[in-house]
Amino acid sequence: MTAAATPLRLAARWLPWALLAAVAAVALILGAHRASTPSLEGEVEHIAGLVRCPVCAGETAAQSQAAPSVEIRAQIRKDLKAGMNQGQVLDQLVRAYGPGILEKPRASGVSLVVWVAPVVALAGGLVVLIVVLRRWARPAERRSPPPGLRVRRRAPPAWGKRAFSALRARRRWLVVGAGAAALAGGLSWALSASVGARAAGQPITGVELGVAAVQADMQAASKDASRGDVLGAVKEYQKVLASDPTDPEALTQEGWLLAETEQPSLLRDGLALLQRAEKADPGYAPAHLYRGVALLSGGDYSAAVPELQWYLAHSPDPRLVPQVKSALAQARAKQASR
Amino acid sequence: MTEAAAGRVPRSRVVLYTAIGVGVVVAALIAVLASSRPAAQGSASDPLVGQPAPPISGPSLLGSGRVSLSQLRGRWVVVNFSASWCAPCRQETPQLKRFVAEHAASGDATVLAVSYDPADEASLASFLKSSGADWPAVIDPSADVSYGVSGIPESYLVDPAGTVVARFLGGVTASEVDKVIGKKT
Amino acid sequence: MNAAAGEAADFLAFGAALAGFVTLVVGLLRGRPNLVRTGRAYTWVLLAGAVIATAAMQHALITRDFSLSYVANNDSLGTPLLFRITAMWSNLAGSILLWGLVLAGYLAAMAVRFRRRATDPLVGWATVIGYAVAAFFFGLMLTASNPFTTVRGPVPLDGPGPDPLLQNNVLVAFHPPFLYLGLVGFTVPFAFACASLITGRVGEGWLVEIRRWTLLPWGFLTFGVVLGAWWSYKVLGWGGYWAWDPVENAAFLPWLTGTAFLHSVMVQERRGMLRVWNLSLLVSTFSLTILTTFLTRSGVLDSVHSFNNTGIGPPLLAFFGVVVATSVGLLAWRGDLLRSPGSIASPLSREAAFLANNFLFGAFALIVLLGTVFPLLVQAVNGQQITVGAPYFDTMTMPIVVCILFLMAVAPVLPWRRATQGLVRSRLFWPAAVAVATLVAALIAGVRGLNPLLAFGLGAFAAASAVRQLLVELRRRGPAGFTGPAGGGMIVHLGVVAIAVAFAASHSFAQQTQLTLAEGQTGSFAGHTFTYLGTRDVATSTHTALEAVVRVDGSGTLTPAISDYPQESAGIGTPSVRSSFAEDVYLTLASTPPRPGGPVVIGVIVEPLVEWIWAGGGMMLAGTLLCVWPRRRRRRHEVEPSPAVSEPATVPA
Repeated sequence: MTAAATPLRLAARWLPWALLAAVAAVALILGAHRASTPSLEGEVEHIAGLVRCPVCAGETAAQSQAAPSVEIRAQIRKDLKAGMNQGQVLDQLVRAYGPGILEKPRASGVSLVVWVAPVVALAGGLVVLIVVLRRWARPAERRSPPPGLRVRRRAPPAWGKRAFSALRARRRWLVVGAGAAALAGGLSWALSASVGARAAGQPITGVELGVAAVQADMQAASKDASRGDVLGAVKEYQKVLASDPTDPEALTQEGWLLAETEQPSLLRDGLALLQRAEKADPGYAPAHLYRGVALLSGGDYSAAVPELQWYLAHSPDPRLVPQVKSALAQARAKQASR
Repeated sequence: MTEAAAGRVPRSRVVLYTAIGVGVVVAALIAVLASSRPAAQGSASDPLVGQPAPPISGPSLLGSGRVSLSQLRGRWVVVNFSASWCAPCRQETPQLKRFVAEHAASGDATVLAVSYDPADEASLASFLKSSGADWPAVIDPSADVSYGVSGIPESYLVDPAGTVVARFLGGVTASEVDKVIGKKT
Repeated sequence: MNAAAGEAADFLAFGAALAGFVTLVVGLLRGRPNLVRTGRAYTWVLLAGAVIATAAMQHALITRDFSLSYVANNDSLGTPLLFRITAMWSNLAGSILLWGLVLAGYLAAMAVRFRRRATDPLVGWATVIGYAVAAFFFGLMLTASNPFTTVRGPVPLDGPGPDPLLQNNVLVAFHPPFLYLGLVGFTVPFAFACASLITGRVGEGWLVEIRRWTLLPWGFLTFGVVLGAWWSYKVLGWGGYWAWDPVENAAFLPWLTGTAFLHSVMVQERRGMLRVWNLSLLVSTFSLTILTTFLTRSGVLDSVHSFNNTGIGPPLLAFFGVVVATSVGLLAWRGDLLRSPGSIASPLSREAAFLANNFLFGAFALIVLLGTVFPLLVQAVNGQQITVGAPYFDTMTMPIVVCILFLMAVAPVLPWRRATQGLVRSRLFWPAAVAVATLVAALIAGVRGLNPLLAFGLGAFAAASAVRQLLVELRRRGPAGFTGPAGGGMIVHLGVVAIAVAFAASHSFAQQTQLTLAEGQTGSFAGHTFTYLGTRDVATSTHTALEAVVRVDGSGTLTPAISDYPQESAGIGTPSVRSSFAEDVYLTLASTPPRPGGPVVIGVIVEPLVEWIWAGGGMMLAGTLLCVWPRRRRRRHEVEPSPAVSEPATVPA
């Protein structure tokens, strides 16, 4: 190893490596460029892979089978056929959907940061690494002390009293530290609680949307409903649901309004909402009643019976009992006649 | 601890400063996280508002011949993306009817329905017919991409000059649209 | 009954954590060994509370006690036993309970392991930190995320059952528990890190002692992450297993910093260097666990797997603040004490290679973290909505993965302190030759594209060098050569290589199409034939499904399905996969026949080497277990690092 490195020896030593490197380099150069130009479909697939599916979470337009994704792929195909390049195709989509449609943020404006920051951090880290290594390497021989000298700066605090007393001397620091930690926690809690105004179901709760506001929406909705303005009422209920998607009352009312229209598809939606209301609060009686009646009018007698029975068994409104009973009898009769 | 180290090596500040730096960054991160809105409620961005309306044209859904947005230039147009399976779309139909009826006399505004789901064209046509919709409806599968529709019902208001002036997410009401028109004129 | 027992047990556990915390702190500060012993004993109360609470929840789920809201919302009469049991972690409140149980288990294990050193302040303070974390989580169970609230009004007769996606694959029973064993397990090393800073005992002794306590959670986390990928692959139906989704990143981030720690801690063990850095890595690992739990469970980020849930955001964020403030404060306070002796003499040494490893993993973690939170940052700055998706992560992390593979090839053969060029040349020659041969073979086999070729070549390089090290160890130590970091660690490396190669192959060479087939018709794609034989209806107690029966390559059938669950309006696609060592055929039912007997659209994905990922995950867990396998001959005090001992590994020429 220490033998004088004559050029010949050096060459002999490195020759196998040079050969390996050459073969690897040639192989990589040969293999790196893909032989065929990509097909149109390949290109469509590629570009669609850079676009988010507008209606689903976590899927690209290339993966998703949702209608808008299929449409986006068709649009990309059309644009490519019209001679646009990838940038232009994506520009077009950004114009319509906004920058959020791109899976890869553009390297411009604020989004530039997401591309540049890691590179800067990497370069910085590399510089630190090199500086540290050099500082270590230079005086290494001089600095590294014989093993015996490498004592710890502090005597190892043995177990028991000595360590305890050492700690006691630092109690002040501990108290200050604990106080600072508590303060930090409290501050972040207070901040998150005061800034985010959202209610149950829409996390980081923060301040709940005032009960008063929800009540106002509910009142407005029932007023709309009594005026016969179904759409307005539904909108108000949806406003309530936006702040609390599990509000059983709003779910029930909206579901009932939809079911009442007796259009088959709306009836189905209404029933789904009523079911959600039951799920949100299994003890909310009106949901069971309305669902029972809606099922009855939809012709699903066997499902209607238990709902109506449930209502009669739990907290029925005495004024409604006769009507519910007759509805139940009707459902049973229909069920039997099947 | 300072006493312990004193006299030997000057106290290193590198760790302290780094710690302060890290603390500041983390505090900023916490502030951002605490104030961020939940993803589900993200406000819809409206990149099209203020831009010329992308063209829409295609075979008519309700009759024969072709329908296009440019034919309606000179009037306010509510471009309404719709499908028969979408309950809120059905709910907003009476509102659209009211809107068209209000403007029937002056003839300054109309609705253009665009079929959203290619598999749903026939049932959307029959739904529109049965609910008495008397505005043009068009089949243009590329329109929802050029408008960036993220879910239906979704409507756009196009002014007489052909510029998009508003985007409505969810069911639209006649008064809502009229309010925007009133503001712009 | 279940609710009362569960809530009482929660309270017991919370109380035990608080009482233990206070008793220990007082005992440690006042120097009362008796108090310290008492404080430690609360561990058992804590464990009892956690076990009783879990038992109450399981009892409620198994016996379908719908008086509990959690059961009413996540269980149903039709749900089979297995998914009634797993329902405990199919929603947020139950997951937190699982978290608490695992944490209590780790603390109890700690108490057993260090029972002879009960009054050692280091162990005492570590237990204090453990109690603080436990108090937070059990406090959460009593307030923001209570799994034992009862339904208002009358008790429902049936519930909707768990989320459909969480009740159609048995992996649900394994993925979350392993993940939690990993994530929660990092609490112990974190506690010891804090304790060493508090007591000022920043020497290396404690690191050696808790080495296994870091390795095991790391192995569990690795396995949990791989199982999660497997679950996505088997259930979600788009043929992928990793989408850089926030929830996936959430488990991956602590894994990255944990991996960096596992490597750099070896430098500290042997050379006493990098103390601040190692402590920072431990602290980051634990803080990232909390931060990412917040990101994924509070609903600020959109995700396929997201639980949107109430009220848990602010406490988690506050806890994150406390954790970071405490640990950064401690580090700053003790910074001077942490200045390490020793230096790295040569860039061609194992120390330097570990430094490079840390640099790469740190960069990797930074990119993943930045990409995950960036949409939130942009929204805070200018209100714009942007997406940072898989293509970003792929682009940014690819160079780093290539560098890591290269480092995995070179680093294991490097000796400590200093290596000569000749040594490196002779040790690396055969691995390099294998790499080049693999590269050429891949080229001849028709592989094109820089990324896959690099991945195959460097993968072979890393694998060959790992095998070489294994052979050296085996020759030196006999069968015991498989154990310890030198043996088990190399098996872990082989697992990593398998996964990296599989990622590159399946990413670059997956083929995808849709076939529209009438009954009896045969289509072909990517060298396979697909005959559509018809559909059949399947009904179980939880759902109904329409299965398309497709014969693949003339033998054997696959049955992609669309399942209808009563609680879900849209049908849920269930893929059907035929796996082999070389490639997977992955079928989905893209659309049902428009009329009975009509044509169906079958989605076909042919993906190479996917099996290797699951195999690699298994190898990584096995390797980790071998790493912690107890060695018989060495006693603890002999492991005490001494810089005078030089690397004994001599190379057989």
